[in-house]
Amino acid sequence: MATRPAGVYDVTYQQDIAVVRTLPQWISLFIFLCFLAVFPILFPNRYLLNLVNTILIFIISAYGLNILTGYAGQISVGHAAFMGVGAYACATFMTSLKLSFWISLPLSGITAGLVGILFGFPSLRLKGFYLAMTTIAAQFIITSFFLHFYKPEVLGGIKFASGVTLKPIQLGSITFNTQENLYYLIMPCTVIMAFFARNLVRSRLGRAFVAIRDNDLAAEIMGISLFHYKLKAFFIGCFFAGISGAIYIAFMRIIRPDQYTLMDSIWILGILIIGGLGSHLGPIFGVIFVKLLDEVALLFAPALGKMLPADLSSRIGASMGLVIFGIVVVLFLIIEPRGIAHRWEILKGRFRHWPFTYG
Amino acid sequence: MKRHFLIALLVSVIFIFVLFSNSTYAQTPAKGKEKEKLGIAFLGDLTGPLGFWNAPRLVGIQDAAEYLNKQYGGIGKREIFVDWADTKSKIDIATSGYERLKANKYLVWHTCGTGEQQMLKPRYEEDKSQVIYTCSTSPGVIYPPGYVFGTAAYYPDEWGLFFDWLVENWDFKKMGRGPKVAILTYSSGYGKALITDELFAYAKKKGVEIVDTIYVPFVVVDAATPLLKAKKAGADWCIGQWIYQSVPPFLIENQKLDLGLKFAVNTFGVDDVIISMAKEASIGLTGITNWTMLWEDTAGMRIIRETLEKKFRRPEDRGASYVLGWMNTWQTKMVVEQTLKRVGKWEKVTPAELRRTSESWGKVDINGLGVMFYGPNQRGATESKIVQVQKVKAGDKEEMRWVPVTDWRKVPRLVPPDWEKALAY
Repeated sequence: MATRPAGVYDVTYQQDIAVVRTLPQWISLFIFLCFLAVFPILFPNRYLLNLVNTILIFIISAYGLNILTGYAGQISVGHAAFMGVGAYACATFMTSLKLSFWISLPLSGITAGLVGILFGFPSLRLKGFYLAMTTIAAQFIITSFFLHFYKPEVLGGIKFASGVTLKPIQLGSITFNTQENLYYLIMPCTVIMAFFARNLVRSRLGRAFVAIRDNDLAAEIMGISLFHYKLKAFFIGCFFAGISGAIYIAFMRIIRPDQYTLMDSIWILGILIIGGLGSHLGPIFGVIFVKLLDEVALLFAPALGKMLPADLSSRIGASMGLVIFGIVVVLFLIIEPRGIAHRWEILKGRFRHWPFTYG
Repeated sequence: MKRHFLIALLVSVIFIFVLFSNSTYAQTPAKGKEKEKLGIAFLGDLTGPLGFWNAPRLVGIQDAAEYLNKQYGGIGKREIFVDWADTKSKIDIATSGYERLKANKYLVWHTCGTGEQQMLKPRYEEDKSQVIYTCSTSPGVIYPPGYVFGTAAYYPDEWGLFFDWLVENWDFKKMGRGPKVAILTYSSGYGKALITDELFAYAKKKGVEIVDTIYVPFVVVDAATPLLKAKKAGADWCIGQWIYQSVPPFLIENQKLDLGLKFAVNTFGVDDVIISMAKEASIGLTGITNWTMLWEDTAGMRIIRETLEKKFRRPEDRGASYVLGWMNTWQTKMVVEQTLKRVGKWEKVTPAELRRTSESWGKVDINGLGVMFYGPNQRGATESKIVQVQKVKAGDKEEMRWVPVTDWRKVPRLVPPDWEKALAY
């Protein structure tokens, strides 16, 4: 569906795979990055920054699932658990092994990736719903492990049986304990991971993933080792989840097993479907749409509650937010089943061909 | 296509409008424009696993606010209103709700949910932007002492009291051993809040053997398996951080299977709704509480009973969480009005002054609804009572109700030593 700006055509392979191809696009990217850099100065609102930080963390996680499910076609319904692996690994590295967050961060991504490989083995024999079932099993096994076997004593910080509170992350004299500071920790990580994801899918590895997704038998005949590439997809997808889980504990400063539930895993998949599976902008659009919708529903609920009698306001008022959330998601999928990213491409195409109506 | 695009655009505009207009109901409108109001914030799970507990509590807060507005013209002559944020028991949603409510500068908050409160505690203490009355008397929430005040004893403390009572009433001679207890509790922050080194050491010291810890869900589908596990472990008693919804299936199954297990609940399980759900099976259920029973004749309880009847409240609303909603609102009235009297004008009523007032209370009766104990380093009740569900004669008929089996008793202090020191104002 992607269209090129008028007059832009490719004469080399490098041009064909280029992400940014024209000067206006380079300028736009520069302006966008500058905007991201000064965002907390332009909008010094804690509520907004808190929301943006949450969105940025989930974007990393959604990118991981997009690589695994959207590009490689391996359905995972245990992605939140892999976030949990990253979170617990990071906390362990930081407290038990006394490593700095900056070393623990990539290590927790690698740990989550390795655990992902472990649960990726069934993908060699299973596909579709059957594979989804094994990832659900991964979800339960991992969270049960945190709940029953992972004793808080392993970790330092302030211990409760239910979890551990960690100290704020530090870099030199900077303490990441405010929303503004945290933004400057989370945003660069998200940009780097998005850049990595974007480049990955246009590499040999990414093309192999797409080939496996589209027809694994044909891919194998072409010489793509399913064994290696499926496991690589699990590793990379879970690496992203692990990184996002580690950043999540730097943001929340608490680690608890009940924050990585099956429901969260399903929602990350839902976010991708809404945003657009297998598209680069899908995870960004999906996370922004779902999180904003969630916020609006939560804001709407007390407002609705005020119009109702007390006994109804705390039940119907609160629930209506969820009902509206559900309705909007369903309506959206009816209107645009291929996700927001697809709609974005149509919109871009229209601007590029304006004032002509074709294209 | 165009129509769809316009619909999507319209929805987006509404989104952005609602999202960024969240400060429309600010606490204090500009002077002279309209009468000044005082907002009470409620932050708790309304649609997640704890929704069935918090929904009646919010009804209680709203009923109490309506009553205070009608009878006293609000608090300190300012009409009160309630604003709330649903946490769904999720920490990301809780932080968002916290930031939204905080932006509206509400002085007094009522909160619930150990997990979210543990996570928000550092923010509460760093921001110092409100005084909080919470039902989560959990480790890392009310201690170290700061801006968060509990409405019951610190959970390990109240279970310590239960162990005191248990060994006092245990026939060591006949049994030839001490009591054996299985912890049947939720795997959530609230459920696990009693599992502390201090409580386990205290149990050992008192001769109580904790034989197993079994996690159960909020909505119990299979009550038999955890009970049989507890029985197999040799438990005499099953104790847990429960709320009303989860207890009746265990009581009924225990009776059905004739397992002979006894049950104990904390303050939030001492709930009349359990009796109405479990009926005869609830007899003997034991609890620890510093709250007044719904049948007791106190000023606050009379108002609550009248309100329940007048407003035709549903059976599930006629329980402990509804009473807690009222109690927290009375506390709010007391703390704001006393502070206002002390500091002289509204502008000087700050969260720090409200904290000072709460800390000065010592042992205080909240309008006959419960007894609280606050001090510079005290955030939970220091005394509680052991209560039990019993059949009693009420007038000419017999009914089941929670009955105190002890007088007020001092709870052991099981707060870790490094949490004793009060946090800065």
